[in-house]
Parts: sequence; C-alpha cells; structure tokens
Amino acid sequence: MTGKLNLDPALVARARELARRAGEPVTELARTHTTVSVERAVLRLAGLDGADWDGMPWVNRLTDSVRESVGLEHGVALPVWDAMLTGGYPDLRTLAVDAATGLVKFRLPAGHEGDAACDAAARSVRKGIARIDAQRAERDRMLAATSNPPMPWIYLIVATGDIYEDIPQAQAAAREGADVIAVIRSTGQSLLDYVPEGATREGYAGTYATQENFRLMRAALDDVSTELGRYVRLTNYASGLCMPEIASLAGLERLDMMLNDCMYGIIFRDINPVRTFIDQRFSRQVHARAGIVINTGEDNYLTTADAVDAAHTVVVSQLLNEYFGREAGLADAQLGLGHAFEINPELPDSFLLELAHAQLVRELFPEAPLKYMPPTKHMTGNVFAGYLLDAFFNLCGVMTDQSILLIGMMTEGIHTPFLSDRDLALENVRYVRRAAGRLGASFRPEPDGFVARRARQVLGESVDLLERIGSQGLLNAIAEGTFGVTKRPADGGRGPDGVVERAEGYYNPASDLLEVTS
Amino acid sequence: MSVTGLVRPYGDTTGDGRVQLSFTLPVPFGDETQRARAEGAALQLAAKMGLDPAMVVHAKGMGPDFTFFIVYGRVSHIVDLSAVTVAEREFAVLPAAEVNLRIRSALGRKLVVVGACIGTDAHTVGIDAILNVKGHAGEKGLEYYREIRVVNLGSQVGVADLVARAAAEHADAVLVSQVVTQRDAHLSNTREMSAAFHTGFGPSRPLLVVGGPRFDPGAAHDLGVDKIFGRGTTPREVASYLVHALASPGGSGGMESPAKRRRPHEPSQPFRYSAPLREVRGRPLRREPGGRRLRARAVRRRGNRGVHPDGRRRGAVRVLLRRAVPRAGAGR
Repeated sequence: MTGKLNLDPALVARARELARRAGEPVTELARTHTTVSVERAVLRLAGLDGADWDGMPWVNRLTDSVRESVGLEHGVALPVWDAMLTGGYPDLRTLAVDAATGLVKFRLPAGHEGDAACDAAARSVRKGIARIDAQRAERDRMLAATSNPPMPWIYLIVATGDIYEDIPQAQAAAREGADVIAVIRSTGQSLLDYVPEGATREGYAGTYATQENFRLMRAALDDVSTELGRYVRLTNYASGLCMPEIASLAGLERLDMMLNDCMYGIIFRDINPVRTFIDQRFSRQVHARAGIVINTGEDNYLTTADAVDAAHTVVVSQLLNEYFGREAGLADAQLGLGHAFEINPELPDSFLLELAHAQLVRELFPEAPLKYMPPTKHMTGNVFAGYLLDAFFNLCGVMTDQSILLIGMMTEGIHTPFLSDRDLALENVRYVRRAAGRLGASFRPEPDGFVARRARQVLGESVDLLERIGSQGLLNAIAEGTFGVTKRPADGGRGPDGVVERAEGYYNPASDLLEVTS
Repeated sequence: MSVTGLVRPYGDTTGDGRVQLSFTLPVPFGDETQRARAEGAALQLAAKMGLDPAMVVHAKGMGPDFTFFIVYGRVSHIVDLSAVTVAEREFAVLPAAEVNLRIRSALGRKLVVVGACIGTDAHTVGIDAILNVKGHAGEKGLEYYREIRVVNLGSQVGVADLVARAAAEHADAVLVSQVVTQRDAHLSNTREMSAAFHTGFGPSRPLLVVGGPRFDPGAAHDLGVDKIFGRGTTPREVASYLVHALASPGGSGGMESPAKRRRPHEPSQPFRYSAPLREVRGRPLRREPGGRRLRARAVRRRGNRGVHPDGRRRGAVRVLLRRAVPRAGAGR
C-alpha cells in the first residue's frame, strides 16, 4: 500500500528500532527463565491430559510433584521421562497418578540416562508438535475445500457459559455471515492457574476454555463451514496464568485465531509481568507453528483512558507486540494487531480523528491482519444512536482497509446480544460494505490536512514514549504506570512464584523444536 | 404538564398513546402463508400487551426459525403519576470523575481499600471484578479510580493477616468477598472477620464491606459489617458507596477524625470473639496447585470426600459431561 499520510520512513524505522531495544531485555528474560505453565504445556504437548477426581489436571499434579522433589530449574522433561524409563511406566497418566501419591522418586539423570530421558521426551513432544502440524495442514485443506472469505472478516462473539448452548448460537452466527466466531471465556479464567478439563456447562459471563470445548466447537464450525462453503474461523483467549497451555491446546485442536497480548494480563489482570513475558514468548512460538493468527488487546487501553490522549499508547503497544511476535517466529500475516473506535462522539471532528488513527495503524503495519474493535465506552443505552455510531465504525473500517471487524452491537453494555441485535448489526455492516466497500481506494486525506497531521502527531508521540521506555526499561515503565492507569511492579501481581530461572542443563524439548522454526 | 395526574405516551399529539416496540418470535418467515402467520402472531402479542390498534411496520426472517418485528401501536393504558413511587437509594451512583473529585476534596489524599477473599474461599472472581482495572459489566474496577489505592490480597487470606494488613496500609475500607457458602461458611467467616476488626481497631476500625451472591443485603448489622453487596454489584456502585460513607462533605463520613467516623451498625452487644480453631492459612485449598504439598499423604478416593474441611467439590467448574462427540473430519 502506498502511504496516504506522508509518514516519515526514518521515523517509522526509528519507532521499530526503539521497540526492539525495549523488548530485547525482556526476551532475554524469557530465554533464561521458565514457568510452571510452560512446563505444563510441555506435558500437554506430550499427550498428558485429564484431571484427578477433584478436577485438578494431571499436568498440574505432575509438575507440582517434580517441582517439590527436584525443582523446575532443569525443566520438567528430564525428571519426568527419566522416571518413565526407570519406572517402566506405560504412559504419563500412570506416572502422574503414582507421583501424586508420592510413589515416584524423581531425580535429575546424567550421562547416558540423561540422554535417554531427553530422547524419550523429545519423541513424545514431537508427536504433539506433529499433531499441531497436521491440524495446520487440515486447516489448509478445509480452506481449499470450502473457501477463504474476503477481508474484512466479520467477527462475532458468543458467550453463554454453556458449550452446548454456544454451539447452535455460533452456527447460527456463521449462517448469518460471521467469518470468525469468538467464544468469550468465563470471567476470571485468566486468574486460574490450571486449565479446566472437559466440556463445561456453567461459567460466569462466558464459557471456560478447555480442550474438550475447543474440540466440540471446532467440529461444529467445520460442519457449518462445509454447509456454507466458507471456512469459519474459531477464536479463543491465550492469556492469563495458563497462556502457554491454552496456546498448545489451541494448536492441537485447530483454533484459528487467539487473543494473545504481550502486556494485557499485566495491566488489566494484575498478573506478574515477568511471568507474562515468559509465557507469551512460548505461546507465540506455538501459535507461529500452528498457523494461528494472534489478536492483540490494544483496544483495552482506549476503554480505560481517553481515546485521543492515549492514542499513542496503542501504537507503542502494537510496536512492542510486533517485535515480540516476530521474535517468537510469527509471520506478519499472523499479527492481528488490535485497536478500537472509542473516541467520544461529542468531540468535534471525532470521526476524522478515528480515521487518522485507523489509517496510521494500517500504514505502520501494512501486512498485518488488523483487528478493529467497535465503540463500547460511548454506547449509552440509546440503541438508535449506538446503531449510528456502529455504522460510522464500519465505515471507518472499510475506508482504512481494516482486516478483522469485530461487529458492534447497538445494545452494547445493556445485555448479551439478542438474536435480533446480532442480525441488525450484520445488516449494518453489510450495508456499509456494499455502499462504501471501495471508498478506501478513493480516500486520500489532504497531504497536510487534519487527518494526516493528526496521524503524524500520534506517531511522533509514540516515538517519544518509546524513547522514555527505552531509557528506563520496559519492566520499569510498566512498574511506573506508563501503560493503562495502574502501576505493576515486576515482582508484584499474581503468579510470580510460578517463575523459575533456568539452570545449566535446562531441557525443554518443546522449546527446542519450536525455536528451530523461528 | 402537571406532575400528578394521568398521562399517556406521546407520539405526535397529546394523549395519542403511540409507542414503538421491537421483538423476535420463534416463528418462520418463509412463504406467503408463513409470513401472514408470523405477522398475525406479532399482532396477537401486541394486542395482549395492550396495543390497540397495532401495526407491524417491519418483519424480517432471521434464519429459518425466527422473525424480527417492529410494531407501532396505541396503548390503552394510562399512567397515574401520583402512583409512581421512587425507591430511595441510600447513596447516589456517581461517575468515576465525581468519585475521584469527592475523595480529593474530602480526604485530600487517596482512599485506601484493602480487598481479600477470606477463609478457604478461593473464588476471587467477585473481588477481582470489583477491584481489577478490567472491572465487570462494562465498568472499570476500583484500581481504575485515580484517587483510590487498591491493595488486593487475593484468596485464602487469614483474618489475622487481613487485620494486620489493613492496619499497615491505613485502610479506609476493607472489602471482603465470600462465594463459598457451604454450612454457612460465608456468615461465620464474616462474623469472625468483623469481630476481629472490632477487637483490633475499636471504634476507629475501617469501613467493612462484604460481597457475595448468597448474602442477605439486610444482614449487615447482624454480621457486624457496614454494608453488604449482593449479586450483580458493579464497581461503580461500590466506589459510590465508599464515597458516600467515607468522603461525603459534612456528611456521615469525615476522615479527619477516626472517632467521628460513622458507626451506624455498632452492635449493642459486642461480639464474643473466639479465636479460630485453626489458623485459616493452614488449610490450603486442594485446588491450589502447590497447596497439595501439605496434604499429599494418603491416597484419596472418592469415598474420602468428606475428609475435606468443606466437604464439597470446589471450584467454579464442574465437569459434567465427557460425551462422545465425533471428531473434526469424522464421517466425511
């Protein structure tokens, strides 16, 4: 795409360079540390699933057992597969059951025994990775057998709490025109330090992300994709304390997109910053391998702060997400960077400001499938005004060539959407696409007009902020409340005790396999 | 127009009674016959709702099974303004900016809130929905308020720890969430907590607020706390209450002198504070990974379930079904 905003290429390059410099120390941290969730993800990739009668997953039980006896500094793989070999266990589940009752003595094998354990671990994990590869191939096959819908993709949400209610709703939404179905997670799942097991029928304002729920929903959407001759993508959330595990499950069950932000959990969920950065690197390596498009959560910055004042924090976060994503092996086409239409409609020129921000993001990340979020903060309950605002959001989306449009509901903030709310919302976006779908090609903001100047101003502010972050370090910047409105010190938040520094001889077969490709 | 009196909805003429309405019926909107039936069904509903005459101005099929209608009509009902009662709220729900402003002007410093789940309760969903920036029901949590400092202690906090931390942080208010209600644990935990604060602080104790889905909002006095919030409470309501109770100019609050703090629910008979039998911290949740360490002794079988202090399955999720469902791609 040729630029419409006359952005200074040198300034754009500088912004990327600053983001890289801010991110590198954090990447180093992720390379030298592991977390309980990363280790559990290794076990999940090796095929350990299920839970004890109390609902605690075996991966948690086994990881805890290993941590108690030999620690996690060397990774979970060495002691676990050593115990498998020496104890003659047929599978991980049997070992986990025995370990939970204290019957297994874990140790750190050396020499031949160490090599044998490594080989066995790598063989098991390779099977999981092979399944992820097969699912990726299956997606390509499905895309060829059905069709890939043109962008912008229409993204709709279901959230009943009951997977068996979600399924018909998701299928109905797909038939009504949704290209992407997101199953909202139960409130607070991001703070659970385990992934619930099995199909679930109760949740708070959403449905739990579980492997079984993933599988059920993907199977249902495969049916409807075949019926419609159009591949319907499935989205969930790889965030919170179990981000690496959920990413792995998503790869194994062929989810197509995952919400996965480098800082969302830190800022909005008070999850320990160090843990988040370690977890997100592993998650993104898995997503890269699985061909999953990540969606980042910059829209959240605008719902907590003023959308005009905080516009540059969105760009900074996008640049950081891009750096971390690429570093972990994601292609640009997998970076669904997020932003939102959240400027107060009472403000003069608010639509011009939205156009400037949306176009800026489009030009900064020309290859990225940008995810554009509808207004929520200024949806007042006046559904008629809300419908109009959503139409302007849709217009801005098609004018600036956004890739994934989350469809705004006129009843936003009132209730979970009625069937009719969703239908009206789709009618809205269909009209705008039909009437103005090609407006983007003819839209040329004046070179030094309001829109172009505003976009350049936001870019300038972003570079300033990145300079400040660079001088103090990303973790310090987060600790001092640079993003969002809260201060999140590096040693605070939830889950810091799940972070372990890798020792000499740390072994993680999954990381090794995933690192090669990146 | 008079405030008392009889009125009807106003379309374009006084007393015309015209209203608009939209709804969905689970009826198909396919062929001619189905469409006529669907519109007839909509008109029947409108008539039963008191719209006479009514007119279906828009009907649209949504998928094979549903039809959406927009209906205009004249209602026969009359509104008697003299019979309108307005529920008096104890406090006004304020926007965030107003909350911040009132705290700033009344206290001249940040209002300190310490939050926790006490007892063995590990359900932090409630307290997190109120405290985390992310918030709940489209409202940002208390962390979002510039003039509120939030200390979220998380789950399974011992009462003694909570009291100590509240003192150390100079808490203005303590928020406690209780979801588990087995054998009325939420009530006994709350009583124990309020008694500890009464004993520990005397009359200058922080404001005590509890929340949870099974509390009776009228039981605050009985439990020795200042306020109880039930299901569906939003962060803004809590923030507004805190401002009402602690930072109302010349009102019931007034932080300059702790002794002057409103004590509306001071029990006439002080609670007999019996120390808990066991330190609450000493009983980690089975669900809590790592907590296992302390109780990984004998094999636990299904029959042993009663062994657990709460005697119940915990956690928000129950695995209800592992129903066999065809794998993706099967059968094609």
